[in-house]
Amino acid sequence: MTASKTQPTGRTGSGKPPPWRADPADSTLALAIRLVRYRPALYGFMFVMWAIIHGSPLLAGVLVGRIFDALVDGPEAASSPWVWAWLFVVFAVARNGVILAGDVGWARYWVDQSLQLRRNLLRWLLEADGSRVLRSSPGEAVSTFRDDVDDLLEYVENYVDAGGILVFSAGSLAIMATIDARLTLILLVPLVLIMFVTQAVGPQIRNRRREMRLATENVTGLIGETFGAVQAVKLAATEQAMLDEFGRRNVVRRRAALRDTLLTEGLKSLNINMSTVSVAVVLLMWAGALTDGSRTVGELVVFLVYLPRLTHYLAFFGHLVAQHRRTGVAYERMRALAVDADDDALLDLTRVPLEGELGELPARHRHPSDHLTRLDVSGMSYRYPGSSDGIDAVAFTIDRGSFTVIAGRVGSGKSTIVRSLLGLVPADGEVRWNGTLIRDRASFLVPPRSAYTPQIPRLFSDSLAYNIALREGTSSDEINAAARLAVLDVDLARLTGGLDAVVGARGVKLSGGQVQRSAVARMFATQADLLVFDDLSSALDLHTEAELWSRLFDHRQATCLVVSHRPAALRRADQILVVDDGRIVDRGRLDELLDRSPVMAELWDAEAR
Amino acid sequence: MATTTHRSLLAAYLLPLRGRVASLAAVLLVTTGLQLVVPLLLQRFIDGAIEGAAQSALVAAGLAYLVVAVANQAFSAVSTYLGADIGWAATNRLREDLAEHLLTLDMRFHTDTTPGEMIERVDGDVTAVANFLSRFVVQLLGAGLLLLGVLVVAWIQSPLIGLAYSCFVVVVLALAFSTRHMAVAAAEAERETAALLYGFIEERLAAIDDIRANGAGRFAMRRFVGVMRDYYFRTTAAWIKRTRYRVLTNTVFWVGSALALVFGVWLVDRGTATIGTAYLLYQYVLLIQSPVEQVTQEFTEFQKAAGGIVRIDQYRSVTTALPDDGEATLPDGPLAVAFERVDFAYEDGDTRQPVLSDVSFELAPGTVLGLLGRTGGGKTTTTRLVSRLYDPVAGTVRIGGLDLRTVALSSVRRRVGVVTQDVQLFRASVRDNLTFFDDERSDEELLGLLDAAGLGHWVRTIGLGTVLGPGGAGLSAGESQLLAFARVFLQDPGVVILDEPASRLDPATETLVAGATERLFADRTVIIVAHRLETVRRVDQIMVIDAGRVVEWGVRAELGADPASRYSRLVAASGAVLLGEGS
Repeated sequence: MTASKTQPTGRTGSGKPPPWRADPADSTLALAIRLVRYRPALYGFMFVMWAIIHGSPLLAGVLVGRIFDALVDGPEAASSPWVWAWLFVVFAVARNGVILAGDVGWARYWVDQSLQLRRNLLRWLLEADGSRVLRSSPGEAVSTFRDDVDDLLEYVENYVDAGGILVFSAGSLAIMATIDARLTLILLVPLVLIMFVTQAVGPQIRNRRREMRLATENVTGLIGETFGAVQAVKLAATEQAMLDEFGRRNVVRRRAALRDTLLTEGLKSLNINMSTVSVAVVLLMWAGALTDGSRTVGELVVFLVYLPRLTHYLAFFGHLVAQHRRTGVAYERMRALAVDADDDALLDLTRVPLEGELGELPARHRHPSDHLTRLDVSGMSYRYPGSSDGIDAVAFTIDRGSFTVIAGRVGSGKSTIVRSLLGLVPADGEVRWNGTLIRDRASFLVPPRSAYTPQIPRLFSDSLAYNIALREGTSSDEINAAARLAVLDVDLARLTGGLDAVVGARGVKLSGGQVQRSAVARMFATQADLLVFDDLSSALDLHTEAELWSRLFDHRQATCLVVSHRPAALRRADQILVVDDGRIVDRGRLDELLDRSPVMAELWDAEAR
Repeated sequence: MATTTHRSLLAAYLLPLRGRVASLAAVLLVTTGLQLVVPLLLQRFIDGAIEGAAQSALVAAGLAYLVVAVANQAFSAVSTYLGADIGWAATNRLREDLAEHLLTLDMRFHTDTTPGEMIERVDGDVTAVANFLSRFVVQLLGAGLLLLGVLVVAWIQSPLIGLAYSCFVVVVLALAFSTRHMAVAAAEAERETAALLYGFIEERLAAIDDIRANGAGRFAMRRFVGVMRDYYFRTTAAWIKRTRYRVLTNTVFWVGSALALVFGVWLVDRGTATIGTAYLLYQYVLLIQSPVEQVTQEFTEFQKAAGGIVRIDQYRSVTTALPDDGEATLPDGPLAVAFERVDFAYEDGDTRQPVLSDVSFELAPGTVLGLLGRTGGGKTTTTRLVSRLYDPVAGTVRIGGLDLRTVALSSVRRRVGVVTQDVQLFRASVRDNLTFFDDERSDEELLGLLDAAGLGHWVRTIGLGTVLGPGGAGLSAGESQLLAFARVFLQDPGVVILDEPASRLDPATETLVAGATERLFADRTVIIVAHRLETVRRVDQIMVIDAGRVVEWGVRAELGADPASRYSRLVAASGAVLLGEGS
């Protein structure tokens, strides 16, 4: 174990900042060292290969210089130019061979480690104990998966390059200094300048790129939205206004693109010009020395060969400093996305299983204690960050086989109660399963104990069977039975491919009602004891909804906790929890509540009119 | 065929920019010349130094080198910028023209395409064409000129050098062209597998609650292993292919420059070249590396653009099946709607699926008609014929007594308003969502309409400028519907089609919707596909459509009084469940 090993921050929040944040410069380096430990042997090998690749042009300068010295000296030369020239040919072939090997190795390292980090992040979000609330949209979160992970890898990559680049830079400066120390010192001025400029301008280029990406997204977004809503656009006869807006966004994008081009080209030109200026300085300072023979053409050629590459490499060091800062930010973003993950989870060194059998997932066993007899909730409170919305001191009890409905106005906190209970948000309070306190609700309230259908269920672009089962080893009989219970059987018969039908990205090939019923089938397929569902019938037509409720009541064995304001559910409820402004204001059966609860009366009137 | 299309594209989109194109050409010529001169100056400097020329002559050569090299870089940067400028100007026009054309096409075209495809066509293909316009022409021209220049200088140096260089260029170009597909196919495979990886992640993150609360995390991660393996093997394979291509060309040039040195040594040995010339030979090999790489790279871009151009051309040749040759205009006020023996079928490839057969009915101005029936029975199709998204296969649709085919499409769009089930929202301000980016309307007018739609309070809290999220996040189902009502109020049509969403509404919003619906129904002819009994109870007439035929049509009160009517039975069945009275 190394000294850089960090302590878990812990979900209880000890308030101790993680070590990598204490001193950004040291800790980013420590982070790089931890990353490299993923495949240290391959990384070490790559370091050597790239040191050769970047360092070997030193040899090129020497060889070319010798050729020209030998040519100038003619027949009296100490060595034949032929030898040097043929050596250069051998060198050229050999170096490219090493590049090929180095690049292949690096591809393997990079892709493998990128998957390690992405897997760690996704696994933490989907599997770890505790609550996970995404603070950004899934689309934005994906950019952390893609761009921030790439930033970390680029940083690690820089150190692979840095060794060889340092060898070349130091070596070439030393060789040039032995030829002419004063000149070499003078040449360092523009070269160091380019290093600082690159470091300063690099982030600017990145910002421009981001602007450009944003402008592009605005354009493609509008195209997608226009043609996604083409019927609405046509019916409202607003084609021209849409096109005008398209034109405006195109102009913004063009400007952003041109600014990007300007900056990139500017930096590139500066870089090349600095090398040009250095060469010119050599030419001018040696004009006399070359004619009087105190400097040779071979020595000049050495400078001519080294200077462009040296300029390029020193710009790399400027880039490295900028990248160093960015890496800290990228890692911070990864941690922010993972909410409460510690370094050990995000940097877990377990190899990604790139080959071989995976073995069976452990089957889901049902222990006798998994059967629900009684669920007690007490003191459950949650506030959404930065908002006054939430729930306060919610308490209720659910008995085995009962049907409990949570009712209330929109925004009163019904869904929050359910999400708090299931540990989907980090709510306070206690939940007892058959009298035993649940330590981590998120990992406990899952099948076979409980199952859940959210208000807006999500499907995956895969087969319907996969979307319903969500695990291995579910028989098609079980899936069909669940589908029948969810009134999906008629649709299944009509869908080409039936259960094997692919539902498209996020289920776009299904209607809203079909998506909802697939999610209900998914819940039934778990055969869980406690079924929690949020607004089951919101996207269903009258016939289907009626059928769904009647099948549910006819076949129900499970205990149900339901968010709904549908009369069919309210009528059947063993208890209704009336929620208003984040609190349970009343509870009981429908007829009792209609007599005494104004909130319930209002809900009932609106629905049953 | 493709080349004539290329030429016509170039003509159509570059001719208006000919001023800028001309200056670009001039800049390119200058850059090429300067690039050729730089090594010549070094040659002269080295030869001068060896021959013991005057120091002042060497200093002059050194200064000339500085000026020419800096100028060269400046011109090269300018040419890149000009090229990008021209490319963006031209292709933005192409994007807009294409989008405009596609918007005129009828729904038959649009139901077969996804928004993603449209993005790919209007932006992806056009971007490939942008590269063609801005870079191919520029860089191919520049690179070609430079190659030519190098060969000319080489032939001037000596026929032997000229011959050697010509052979080298031919070999290198042949090699580059025969292997260029290696990199392209690899890049495409890489993009595709990355899209799969991030698509998987995005879907899982969107479904994070579904997965966690249903204990599906481990299985999702198991599934991810397969995705990761695919990503790993395809990405590394693509990467390696790309590397091989790069290393191959790189080797050719390193070995080329090495051979140039050998060749130089031989020439100097024979006394047919100066040492400066030997250096020039070495430099010129390095000089042509990037143009050769550019030419091959641009040729692959050219092929991509060719694919894009062919597709763009295909789209431009599609014409609408809804000819807009009517000239009549619909009158003001509520309008009569009539179907006369209407048949309709959607074309699905070569087969036609009959959807409506022999549908006839007539609504007096101001009537509110409720359409009932099972999903897929033809309700929505009926409404689409009223708004003339399609023409009937047989029979006639009349509005205000006029055959819709004789009325100008713009007049139909103005006088027939539609609220669809899915209210489509843009990631844009409330204002733009209401007006579809038409900024002619005053704030007062819009606020008045939003008041009528029951959104006055809401919009005054958040403001007209608030941007609604992608897909309309931040708006409840009820609020989106009210916004759609406001759109219709803005249009003030004489006929309104309302395909009622079946989505959840809380009681408070329900009241707002009821109020807005009432204002919507006032003084208009309305056809409504209803999902809520509450709405059905407001209509004057009921029509039940089943399997494409009208199976019942009458005044609601009369049908409701007849217990044998389909309407009564339907109300009884769904009402029983809704009101919790049955079983």
